[in-house]
Amino acid sequence: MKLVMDSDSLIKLTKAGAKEIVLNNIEVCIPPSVMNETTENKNKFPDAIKIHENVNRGLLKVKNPPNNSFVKSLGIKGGEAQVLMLHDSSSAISSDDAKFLNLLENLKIPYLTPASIIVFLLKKGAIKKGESRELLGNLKEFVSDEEYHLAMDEVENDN
Amino acid sequence: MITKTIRLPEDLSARIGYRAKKEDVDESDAIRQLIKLGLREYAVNLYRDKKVTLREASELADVSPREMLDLLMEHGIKGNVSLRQQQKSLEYVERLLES
Repeated sequence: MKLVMDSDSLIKLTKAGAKEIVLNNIEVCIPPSVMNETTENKNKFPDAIKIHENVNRGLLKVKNPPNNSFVKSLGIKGGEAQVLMLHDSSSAISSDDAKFLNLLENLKIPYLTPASIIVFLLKKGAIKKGESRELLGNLKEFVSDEEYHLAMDEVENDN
Repeated sequence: MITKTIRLPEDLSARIGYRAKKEDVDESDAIRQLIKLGLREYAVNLYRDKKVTLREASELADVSPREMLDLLMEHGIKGNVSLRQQQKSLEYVERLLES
């Protein structure tokens, strides 16, 4: 599976200590604007340095998006616009931003929230139930209660 | 800087005077500080209500997206994904596993 990730999702997964396991199991790429948004003032934020390291090690790929006049016509800017441009029919988008997710839904583009990525890794067999619980627990303080509880239900009901 | 002329009710003017005295700044600085504080609050509310993205909120509040996340958390806003959106996302997980 390929994922194009926005700043919101990348920062939250990093803060929750889940980014490495995600990058080891899913091909993730980000556009340059997301790289800038997430590593701005990197000396002030330890997790921003980690994102830089992931890029340097090739775990996280930074790709320039192709020009897309349709996306430009939507009137969106910055990271969201570049994430949309980078997405193709073989990839999904990861975001934790309700307004952006609404747009993706209208465009019929599949999306994964950070908590759903943890559920995916569990169901794919990449992580165990205990680790999923722990990672979701770390994410809890960064995502909505609805997102957390639905994801945790999936984890608990997984056989 | 540009110059704007606005009319203020007396009580609001008095509050600006209060801020100026408290922060030991002149009234222009006090107004600028209060506008910035107001914009941050406004950005937080718009994000909470799903009316702006994180980036749009951070631009309005004049902070980086990362600082905006911290600001949202200070206001008790952890995220704004709805129940329906999370359900859709989990449905996609199922589709991925089936394919």
